[in-house]
Amino acid sequence: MTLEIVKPGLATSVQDLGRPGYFHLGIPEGGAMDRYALRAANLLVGNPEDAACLEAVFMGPEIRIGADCILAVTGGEMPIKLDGEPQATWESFAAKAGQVLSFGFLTGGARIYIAVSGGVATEPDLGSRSTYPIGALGGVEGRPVQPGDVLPIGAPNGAKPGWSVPEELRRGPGSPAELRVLPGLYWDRLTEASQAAFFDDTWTVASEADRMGYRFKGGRAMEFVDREQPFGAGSDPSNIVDGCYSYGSIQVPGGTEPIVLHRDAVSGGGYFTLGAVISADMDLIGQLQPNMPVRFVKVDMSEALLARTERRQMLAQLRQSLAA
Amino acid sequence: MKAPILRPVAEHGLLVDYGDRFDRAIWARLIDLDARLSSETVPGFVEAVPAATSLLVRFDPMTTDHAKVGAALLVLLAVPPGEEQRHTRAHVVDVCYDGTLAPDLVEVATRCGMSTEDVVSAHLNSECHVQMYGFAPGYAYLAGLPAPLHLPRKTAAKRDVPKGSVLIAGQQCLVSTLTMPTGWWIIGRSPTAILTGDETRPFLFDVGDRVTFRRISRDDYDRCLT
Repeated sequence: MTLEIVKPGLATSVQDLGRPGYFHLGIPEGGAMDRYALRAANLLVGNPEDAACLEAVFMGPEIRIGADCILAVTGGEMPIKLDGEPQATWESFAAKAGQVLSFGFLTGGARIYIAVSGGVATEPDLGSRSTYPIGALGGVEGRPVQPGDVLPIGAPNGAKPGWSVPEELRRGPGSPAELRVLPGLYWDRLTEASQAAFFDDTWTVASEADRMGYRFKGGRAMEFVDREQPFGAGSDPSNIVDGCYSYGSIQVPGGTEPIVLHRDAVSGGGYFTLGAVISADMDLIGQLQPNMPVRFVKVDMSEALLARTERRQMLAQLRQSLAA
Repeated sequence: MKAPILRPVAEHGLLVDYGDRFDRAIWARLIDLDARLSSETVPGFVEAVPAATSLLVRFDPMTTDHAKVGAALLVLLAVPPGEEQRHTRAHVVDVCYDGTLAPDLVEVATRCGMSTEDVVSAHLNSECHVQMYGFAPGYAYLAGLPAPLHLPRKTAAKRDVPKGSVLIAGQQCLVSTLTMPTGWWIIGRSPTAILTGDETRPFLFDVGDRVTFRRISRDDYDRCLT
């Protein structure tokens, strides 16, 4: 069984849940930008939750199906067509050998996850099939898919059409999307006025929004508390002596446009970070499009942990609802 | 040595922060701590990422919290370092300092008030150690450049700097593994393979390893690549 890429879309790539454990060597965990949507897509087609899917952003691919199989598409809202026939999102459906899967225009969110029963079975690198183009790891030769690529698919697993994720277990960003933030690390380098402005202003997603990070614009520029730059750090007040960046960290080069570091972000560098988006909200970022309005909402540690617990419960409900 | 500040990073990390002045003893302390971290010494431990003056410790917030991890780290930090030496290796990296492979060598010499040959000698005499990984996969920051070569970074980055470039800035040096932009000074090119292709050890260097440089001619460089 194979999937043949007829048209690749914008930047469609093979993703699973990533390759943890190499961050100290500068290799990010990577994996699906919206992990929840990837897990749901896999569960719908009877795969293990961490199987590899295709992640498409803004524009769907066109794919020729190599053999009869079960498919499901989750994440953003993009009309699905199988030989032109509409199919429902967040629901499994059957496809026959030779049929072509294609997509209409994106109507909500930013990324879709295309799962196939058996899972995409390209060669893993460092324990994962996730595509990481900068390091040429995973996917097809370490890059997004191209026309003519033929993706191997694992053995079918008894999945059935018509499995569906209940409405209340589908998650998309509100508008304005709210991203909850734990201030931290170099928060005290900002003046009090700048600290307040960061949360008061409405930001919009900039065009530089990809797997490495999402940049936001439109808020007020930040002011820094005066200090003398240490030797070894860059000359701008937003520079620090090189340190590690945690996933979700918000760095602000030049103090103007915050960047939330996402799955493929580098492990370290010389910019200060003012805090981090809580892990419960990282999936939401993967569903943001350029020009969408976004607010950053200040939370404390107990709220962050509660949000994480709620996400866990939602995942448990998802598993339960799709248990065979 | 001053005690570090333990700073929370999101709900899943603590930064062991020794401030922003690089110091060999502090770094040795961090590397020693890094080597001692495990799920036994710090329950809920996920991974650690060492940097020049800090160590990021990530943990599972569903099984532990900042206070418990912080307390476990303080216990580890109370044990004096050096009792069990971290196992480190020594590597020799070949560098060609000739012409087009070293586009910034002349400007570095001018800024340091030295001849280009003196810059090369100073670089060859430096004994570096792998301080941290950062910026991009395989970018090992090598610390230990001699003081006469310490320059601030360029004010603007140069694009498409070829992989294998030998870069310096501040007291650090690195051999790039990807063709990327950089604001560091390019003083040579190395044919030494940093990517090993080995899953358990994807890059030549481990944090803590010692690195020295060996000069090769342009002919040797070209031969290494064929």
